[in-house]
This record gives sequence, structure tokens and C-alpha cells, in this order.
Amino acid sequence: MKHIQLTIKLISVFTLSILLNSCGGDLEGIFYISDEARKYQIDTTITKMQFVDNYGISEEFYIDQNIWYTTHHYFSEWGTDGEAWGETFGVAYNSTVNGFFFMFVLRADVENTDLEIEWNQRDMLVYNFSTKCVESGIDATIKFYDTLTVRGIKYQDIIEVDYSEKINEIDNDTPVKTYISGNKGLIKFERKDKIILERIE
Amino acid sequence: MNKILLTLILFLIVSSCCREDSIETARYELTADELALLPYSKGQKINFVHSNGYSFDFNVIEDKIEWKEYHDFCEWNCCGNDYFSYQVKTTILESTYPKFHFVFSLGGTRFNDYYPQVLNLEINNRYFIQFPYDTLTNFICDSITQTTYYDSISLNNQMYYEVCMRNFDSYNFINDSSVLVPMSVYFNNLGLIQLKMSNYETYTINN
Repeated sequence: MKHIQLTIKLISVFTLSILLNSCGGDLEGIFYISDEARKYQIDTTITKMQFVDNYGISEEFYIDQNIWYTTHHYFSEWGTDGEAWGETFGVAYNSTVNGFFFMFVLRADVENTDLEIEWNQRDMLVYNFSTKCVESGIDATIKFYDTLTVRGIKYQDIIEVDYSEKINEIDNDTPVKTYISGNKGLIKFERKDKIILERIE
Repeated sequence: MNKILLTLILFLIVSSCCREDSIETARYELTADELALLPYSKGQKINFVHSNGYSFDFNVIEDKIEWKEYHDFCEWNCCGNDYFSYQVKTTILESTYPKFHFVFSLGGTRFNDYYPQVLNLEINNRYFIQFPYDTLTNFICDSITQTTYYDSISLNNQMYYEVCMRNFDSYNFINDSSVLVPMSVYFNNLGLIQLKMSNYETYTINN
């Protein structure tokens, strides 16, 4: 009986010490998405995006209604003392013909902002704007440039996600190349089967 | 103390056991005519063509018949409830690109719903449509079912006979009527012969 009581006391002390250590420490403040990343915050008032592929087949990406994660912009708390908060912005689209799913998230941390890009709940990568590296997921080449013209429309602040070097590691429905405009969202993507879908509106 | 607790647990387990057998009150088997409404077999390829000319194959990845049980909804004291059995035929067609996943079912759906005399079609887990039919397995085409019957119709420059057409009447999660979605389905003894989209692009069987 004494052994059981001793064990319970030891577990209690151990659990309490873990809880105390996880309470956020000295971290305090509100951590915003960095200016560098902020320009890629997609305009979520654009709730649908029309595409056409190189065979003339139409596709449309749409922000589903009534699902919380489709557009989210909030501050999440770190620790339990209410002293530290980090900004998160995200938007997710479903395509209405092929059923593709595309999600784009900017997440502020203490020292940097992360970019998360996910296709079809299969391949997701996390890019760190500070280290300029993909820190999680399959290591795509990420490029940033000012403009890209797609179907006669010039888009600004482009992010290019290129899985060409890792083509055998990605899912068949994850595009080899994805182009995202900072303000307008997804504008073009190229599949493994050489089918290219481009934004028309 | 431990013995009392153990006895209590054993008592709870024993008292919660169901000692009444459920009784099957009926069995509803799909008829040969009903089964013929889905003229597909596993492994078959069916070529379709988009209205702009792109052709692609649907693969029949599943074609199975199974028995399911229908129990009345019961939350408490469900022991020994009667049930009936019903047969469900499920056929799944899938294409790589465009990426379609069509689930046809007769007699019921994958959600364990019992739907006698209804052909169900589910597209990409998002769009649902039903074709009710009568006891002679003729599709019921009237204003109530919002289904139209054609003795013959030309689709993609080819004549098809005894065709039933039904429009989708609602879309999950989509409130905007201008969004591109499946608009109508054409069906006859060949199975699905055309899917028409809301922008009038079509996917038609390519014989």
C-alpha cells in the first residue's frame, strides 16, 4: 500500500513539474505575420477562381461555406498565461469539378513567419521566411518574383512551388509546379501528366 | 475493496449482455432487372469524351452486391430489435483526369440508408442525385421526380434511345448559383451516357 502511495506522489510531482515548465515562461507579446510575408495574404473576398486546362476543360476553385478552416485569421495563444499570441492567416479552396483541395497558410512565430502550402491533404510543406528553407514536407524549390502573366492577366507578388526535383515523391494529384499570386491566390498549376490549369478570372 | 469493485464490474457486464436474438422479418433481394440498371463489371474501361474533344477512360474499380440490415433507430435498450435485410449493389467508376469518382448504388447507399427502387449516384463525394424507378424498373419521369424521358436524343452527335435525364437540385457547401457544378445526368441502358456541367460543357460516353 505504501508503495502505491509513493508511486502516486512521484507521478503527481512529475506531472506538476511538466505543467509548470509548459506555462510559457518569459515569452510575451503579440507576434504578427512579417511584412515580407504579409504581401502574400490572399484576398479572401475572392471566393471563387475560374480555371481552364490546356484541353479546354473548365475548373473552378471555391471557398466552401460554413467550414471554419476555409478562411481563418486569428491570434492563437502560446502558453497559458495570456501573455503571448501569434497571428495565423489561412484560406482553403475545393475545386468543383475534380475535387482538388488547396490550402495556403501564413503563421507567425516568435522570430519568423512560416508559409504552409497543402494539396489534397496529401502533400504539405512548411517554408520558413527567415531561413529561406523548406522545414517540413517534401523539399520543393520555392521562388519569389514580382509578376507573372497568365492568360493575358498580369499578376503580382508570385510564389512558385516547384517539386520537379522530387517528382517521384509527391502524390499524383499534387502539382509539380504551383504558382500563387500574393493578392489573387492560386493562378496556375502543372500536373505530372502535363496538364496545365490556368486562371482565367 | 478490490473484490467488491470486481464484482460490481462483472455484474454490470453480465447485466448489459443482450440475451434476445434479433429476428429478421424480411429479405429484399434486387431483381435481375434492377441489377441490369448498372451494366458495368469490375475491370471494365469506358471511354468518355469532353465537349472540347479530350477523351479519357473511366475504370470500373468496384462492382459488388452485398446484404445489409435495416434496424429502426434505437438509442437505449436496443436489445433484440427486429430488422429486415436488403441487398445493395454498388458500382464505382473512377477516372484519373478529369478526376471523377462516381459511386452508383441500388437498394441503398454507402451510408447504410435503405432506398428501395432508387438508383443513387454520388459524384466526388459532393454531388448526389437519385433516379427513382417503378416495380417494372422503368425510371419514373415526371415533375415530382424532376426527371425527363426522351424516346431518343442526340448527345455529342450520336443518337441514344430511352434516355432519362435529371437535373441536380442542390449542392453541398455551395451557396453560389454561379459556381461551376454538375448540372444534369443522362442515363439509359448503357448506364451513364452524359454528365452536363452548369457551363454546358459535357462529358459523354464515347462509343
